[in-house]
Amino acid sequence: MSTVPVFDPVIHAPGRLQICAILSGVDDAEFGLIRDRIGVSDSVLSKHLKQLEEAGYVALTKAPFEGRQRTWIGLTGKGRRAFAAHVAELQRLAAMTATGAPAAAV
Amino acid sequence: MTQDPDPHEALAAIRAARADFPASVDYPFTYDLLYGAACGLLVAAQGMPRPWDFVALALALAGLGLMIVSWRRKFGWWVSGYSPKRARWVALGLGAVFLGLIGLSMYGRYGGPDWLWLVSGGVGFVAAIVGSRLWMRVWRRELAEAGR
Repeated sequence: MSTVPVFDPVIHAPGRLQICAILSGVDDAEFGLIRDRIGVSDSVLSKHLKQLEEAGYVALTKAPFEGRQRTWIGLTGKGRRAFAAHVAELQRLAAMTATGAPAAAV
Repeated sequence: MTQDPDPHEALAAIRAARADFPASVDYPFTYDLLYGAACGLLVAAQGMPRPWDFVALALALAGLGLMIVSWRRKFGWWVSGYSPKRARWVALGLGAVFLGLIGLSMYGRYGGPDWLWLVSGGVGFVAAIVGSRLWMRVWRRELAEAGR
């Protein structure tokens, strides 16, 4: 893989890591679906999304459905690159620890 | 998982988040039939006589639009055929097949037998169903391999 491994503290927090993992496979997903998948409350998910949005990693759009607004979330190009780089870094660190080499500071 | 998990733990969390999403989502064969019909109609429309070509084109585009809306409502996520790195080659290949079939329809309209759109539309219907299932298979494998 040509992605340069880069550790990203914004993505690394457990909830945000799972959000990015889900979003990396699709163009966008609905708020409720992500909330149920990672098992958090609306407010916790909103907080995670706000941090990802502030970093420019996700874009939120609202669309009416059955009389109420639904929020759709998608990774931006910057977010996809950052997540790929973070995963590459995790894989690099995992390979190092698996072979007994000294782990880099995370 | 702790706030600062080790890489193995973090990779396991990624795998868990993706474990059955959206790769395991199985959709009814009705979607295949609708998609095949819309694509077949889109291809056949290019060889149909007026005004049926416009009617067929409008129906095909409306059908595709409705399918996307229905999918998003039912599953809560969307991915276009061209987004995934590996599966997009299946989408591009299918696009090339459709272009060839559209050419065949137009040949029937402007020089060849005027029933040719029936053949190209029928082949387009089958190609769309086979192509979409193949795309889904490649995409699922792509997702399963990511983050390993």
